[in-house]
Order: sequence, then structure tokens, then C-alpha cells
Amino acid sequence: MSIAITTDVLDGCVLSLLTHADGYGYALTQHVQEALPVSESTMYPVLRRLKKMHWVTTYDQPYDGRNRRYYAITDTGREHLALIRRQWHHYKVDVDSLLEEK
Amino acid sequence: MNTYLAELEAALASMAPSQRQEVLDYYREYLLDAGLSSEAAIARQLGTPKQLARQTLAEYGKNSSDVNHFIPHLPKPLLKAPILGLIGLGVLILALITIAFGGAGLVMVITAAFLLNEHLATAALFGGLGLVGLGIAHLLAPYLINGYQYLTHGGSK
Repeated sequence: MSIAITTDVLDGCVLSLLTHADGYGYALTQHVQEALPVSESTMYPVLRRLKKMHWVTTYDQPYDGRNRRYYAITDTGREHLALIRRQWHHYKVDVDSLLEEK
Repeated sequence: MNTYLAELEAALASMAPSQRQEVLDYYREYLLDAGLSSEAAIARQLGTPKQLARQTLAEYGKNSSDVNHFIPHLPKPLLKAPILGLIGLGVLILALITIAFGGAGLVMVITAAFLLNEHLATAALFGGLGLVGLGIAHLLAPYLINGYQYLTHGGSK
């Protein structure tokens, strides 16, 4: 069994990856999958939502005779990431306090 | 790969063409980057075209309802010209009512001030009624301002 990941947490994970470097769909999926049990088709809706919220922008770069679409975090994306990090911290502390064996 | 994408495209027929193209572009790039070419290999990763389409359409449904939270007052489908016309008429009527109460109230209060030395009871009556009128106008004003702002800013989106 694995615990389901909410969209907010997934948004935060992808935004956090993008603070290191711009990324493209396949590579981002691979990175997230290294840590979390998400399916291959999970990433498109996430990226689309991030773009719609203006937390990321996209640009195309030629690669191997075709285009690759890269995603880059925006300033509002960084602000949102800071918010998700704070909320996750609270959530973690609250859940831990309930789950801990006393 | 092209067969898979063609089947995906067919299964996404209910989607707007521009959105469908974005989905197809994304998965074409994904499959090339993943080095997946045979349909069986793709289906092991992404599911059958129908499954992927169903999942994608479900996500779009979720997201489009999310968006409505960011549009104040009215859900998106209602932002159409005839509705805006009705809202405009409502705002106009509200403006007339507000001005009527406010104007009448103001006149009564001024009249009361002039009558104060001559007939105290009448002055008190006029003054009271006048204040009530001004109060009603004051209560209505925020709605009027909201309505006006909605028409000039919110409605243009």
C-alpha cells in the first residue's frame, strides 16, 4: 500500500525540482518517480495546472531534430512553493502528533 | 507510436482542438524521450489510448471547475452578453433607487434644519425620515459599487 499524494503536494514537488533547473516532461516524471509512486500519466495534468496558474512558463528548445518543451518556475511559482512548504510542514507536524505512539 | 497517438487523438475527440493538440504534443515528446515505440510497450507505461484519454478528460473536468473559484460573483458560463445586459439593467435600477433615497433623505434633513426654530415636531419628523433615507442609500451604495465594478472590470474577462 502507498499513501495517495494530493495535487498540492505534487505541485510543490515539481515546483521544487524546477528551482534547481528547468525541466521537460519525461525528465520531470522520472525525477518525481524516483521518490514517489506516481504513474507516467500523472505529470501532464500537473504541468498544465502549474502553467495555467502562472507558476511556470514554457519554452521550446530544439533537440534531436524536434522540439522539447521546457518548464521554468516563475516568481509567483516560487511564492507558491514557499506557501506549500509552510503548509506541508504544519501538516507533517499535525499528522506526526496523531500517529506517534505515546 | 503514431498508431498509439492517432488512437489517443480519436479518443480525445470531445476536447477542444487546441487543448487536444497540446496533449498530443506532450505525449509525442514524452514517448520519444522515453524511447518507447511499440504500442505494447507504450501501453504498459501509459495505459491504452482509451484509458489515457479517459484519465486526461477527467483531469480537464476537475481543472475547469477549479478555475471558476477565481472568477468573482458568477461562474464562467454565465458571463455572456445577454446576462451582462440584465446585470446592467439591475445596476441601473439600483442606482436610481439609491439616488432617490439619498436625494429625498438629504432634502428632508435640510428642510428639518430650516424648520428647527419654527416647528420642532415637524423638524424632528423630517429629520428622522431624512436620516432613514440616507441610511438606506448608504446600505445600497456598496452593492451599487460592486455591480458597477463587476460590469466595468469583471465582465470584460
